[in-house]
Amino acid sequence: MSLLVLVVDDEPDVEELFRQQFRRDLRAGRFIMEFARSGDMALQRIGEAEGVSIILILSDINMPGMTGLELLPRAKAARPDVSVIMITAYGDADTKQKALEGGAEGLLTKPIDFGALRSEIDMRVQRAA
Amino acid sequence: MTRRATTGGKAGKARRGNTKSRRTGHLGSASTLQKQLRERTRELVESRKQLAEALEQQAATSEILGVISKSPTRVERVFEIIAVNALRLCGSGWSGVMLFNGETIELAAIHNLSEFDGAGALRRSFPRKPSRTGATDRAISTNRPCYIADVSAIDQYDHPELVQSIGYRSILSVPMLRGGQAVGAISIVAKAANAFSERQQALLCTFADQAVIAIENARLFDEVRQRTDDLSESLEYQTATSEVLNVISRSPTNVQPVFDAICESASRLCDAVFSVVWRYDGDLLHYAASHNFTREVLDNIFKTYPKRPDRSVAAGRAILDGRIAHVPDMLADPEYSHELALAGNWRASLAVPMLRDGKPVGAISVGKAEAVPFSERQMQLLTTFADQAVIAIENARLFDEVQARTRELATSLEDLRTTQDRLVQTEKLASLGQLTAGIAHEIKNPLNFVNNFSGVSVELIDELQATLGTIKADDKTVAEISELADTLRGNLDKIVQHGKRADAIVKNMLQHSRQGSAEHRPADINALVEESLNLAYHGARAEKQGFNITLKRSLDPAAGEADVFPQDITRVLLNLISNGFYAATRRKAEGNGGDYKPVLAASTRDLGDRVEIRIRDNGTGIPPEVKEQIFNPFFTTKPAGEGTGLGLSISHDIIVKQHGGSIEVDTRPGEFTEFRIVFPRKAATLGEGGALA
Repeated sequence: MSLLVLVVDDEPDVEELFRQQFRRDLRAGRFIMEFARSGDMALQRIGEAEGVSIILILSDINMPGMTGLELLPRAKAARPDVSVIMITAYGDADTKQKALEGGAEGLLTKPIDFGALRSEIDMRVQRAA
Repeated sequence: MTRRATTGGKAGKARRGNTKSRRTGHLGSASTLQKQLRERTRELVESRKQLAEALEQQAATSEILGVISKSPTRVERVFEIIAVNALRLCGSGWSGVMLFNGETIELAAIHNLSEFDGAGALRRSFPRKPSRTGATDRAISTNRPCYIADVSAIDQYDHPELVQSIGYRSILSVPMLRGGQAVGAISIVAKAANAFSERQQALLCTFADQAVIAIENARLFDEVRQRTDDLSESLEYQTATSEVLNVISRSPTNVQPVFDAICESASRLCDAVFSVVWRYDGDLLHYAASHNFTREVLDNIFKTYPKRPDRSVAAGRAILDGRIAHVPDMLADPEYSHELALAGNWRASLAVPMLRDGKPVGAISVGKAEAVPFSERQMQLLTTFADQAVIAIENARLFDEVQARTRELATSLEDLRTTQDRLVQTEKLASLGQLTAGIAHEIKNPLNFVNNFSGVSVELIDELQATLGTIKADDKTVAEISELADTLRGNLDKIVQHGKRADAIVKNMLQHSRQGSAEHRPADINALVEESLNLAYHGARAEKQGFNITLKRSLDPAAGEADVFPQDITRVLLNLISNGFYAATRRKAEGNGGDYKPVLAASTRDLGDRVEIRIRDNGTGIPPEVKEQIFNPFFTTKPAGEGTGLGLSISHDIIVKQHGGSIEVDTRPGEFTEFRIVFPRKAATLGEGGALA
């Protein structure tokens, strides 16, 4: 069963950036990445995740429609076992607290430190193996 | 007025006998006729005599009336004329007019009694209380005429010394009656006994009535004159007080003209040789104004005043006692300052206090050359002046108060305007801050992509070159590809570098308008300054090789603690210190070394409920046109890439908005720049709690 990292962000170029950053892992098939452009799409994908094991959800906070902080509790409700890491441009204490209260594993600020993100993913890939 | 004589004497009987015999006469024999003729002749002689007497009497009374009407006020003259006429119509001897005041009898006029005959003894017997047996005395005490036909016939006559020295026997006295009461008497005296007739008594009664009229006339005249005098004095006083009122209304702000006017009027109306107005501040007596003082006295006053009020002058007493002080004769007053009075040539002095709510605020004093008491009216006048002086002082005080209040209001208004201007400025900065924040957020995302993609692209170029290495190609192609790849990598590096620069700017902008910051707490101000100095110094040394500067600290131990957002204050200090380093370094570079020594001084000072921090450098200074703009966001004089133009703008916001303080700059181009920060010790609670956006 393939391991899935679900990235939720309304910016289309995020997909291209992530695919380039993790091109070797993806080429090697260590995990797959899927991209949802909204909270609704993300919840839908979580709901119909068959034949895949979601190891991590990365979600932007500032999105039109459902925000990342609104998505967070619903995603956790659907899949309590799945870790969620929030991504935001606002690294302030208030946002961080809200994210952690909503059940997020952590908070990454933009620009994303891809080194740190890679180690988070690696850890979960190894755990799943 | 009724006066029928009851005293004994022949005069009355003789007159009645004559009338009777004329009525009962008739014609008869020759002897009878002869007798009748004699009788008629006698009657004719008698009536001629009576006619002459009546004429003489009429002449006398008309002379008296003439004197009365000619000199209505000179009652003494009337008495003299009465005395003269009384004697003339009553035969030999002497006459006198006496006055009675209800208690004692006084001699008003005396006629035909020489000093040899004992006039001195007569004068000496007055004034006296009415005696028991004296004719004048009895006429006055009984309100009826008294005729003593022979004083030697009276046992224990009350005035033996007069009888002895003057030598008289008959005396006739009629009272001068007003309202039935004696106000005096007219007496005629003769050396012989039984000298006066009833007719003479009646004549004397007429004179007495005339004397009373004269007295009454004179009294009324005196009264009228007194009233007129009083009225004209009142008018004068009223004119004076209304003049002072005029001065008060003309000069509502200045009391001096009022005091001067009061002095002038007081001198004139109190017949004074001087007048002074004093002011009293509750402790000392101050000279305010005067009239007619000699140079010498004035010099003396200027030398000794202001001083505490004492009892050596009337004004001092008026202040101390809170009421009128009257010194009718300073020579009789051991407490009074004789020296001053002698120098000013006055004997009597009067002072009235100027009272406001019962408390003395000054005094008006006047002095007279003679030791004569001041009149009740003069005291009243001076009291009125004192009241007016108080009104003038009060007026001026109220006016001053109103003006002070107006000035205060004007200042408040000015302050309000300034505050409003500052608010508008702050508001501009704030909205600019919000705008900046919005823009920063919008830019940050695409900028992240630029940075991220270029970062990945550098890796991809490396991978591309590695992949190309595995392909067989001629050296020239390999070299070309390698060169292109190098250029591409170089460009990407540039993109990354400038992207990061842009990112730094955006980060600063976000900080400028961030939402909320760390918590506030009481922080040691000197420690904050010390920490900032060290951080900035080591930071600068790490950044630039060869950097050096002398740090001077002048930290007030009393600076103590203040409730602030320490991170933000440190941020401001770092900013100012770094700017100082930059300016000093630049001056050193411009001066190509020389003996210039860069110095940065940090000082703190306790201002009570506020604290002051100064950061001063001896660098390039700030030109005036630049100084205007240094707190504006994005304004910088540093070369592109060296400054974001936000440092001072952020510092301004932190100090002014967040901490409710002030930040000012003092500078001289080519010499120094000094930033002065002042904020309240309760800065964090007074400011806007860090909510800047």
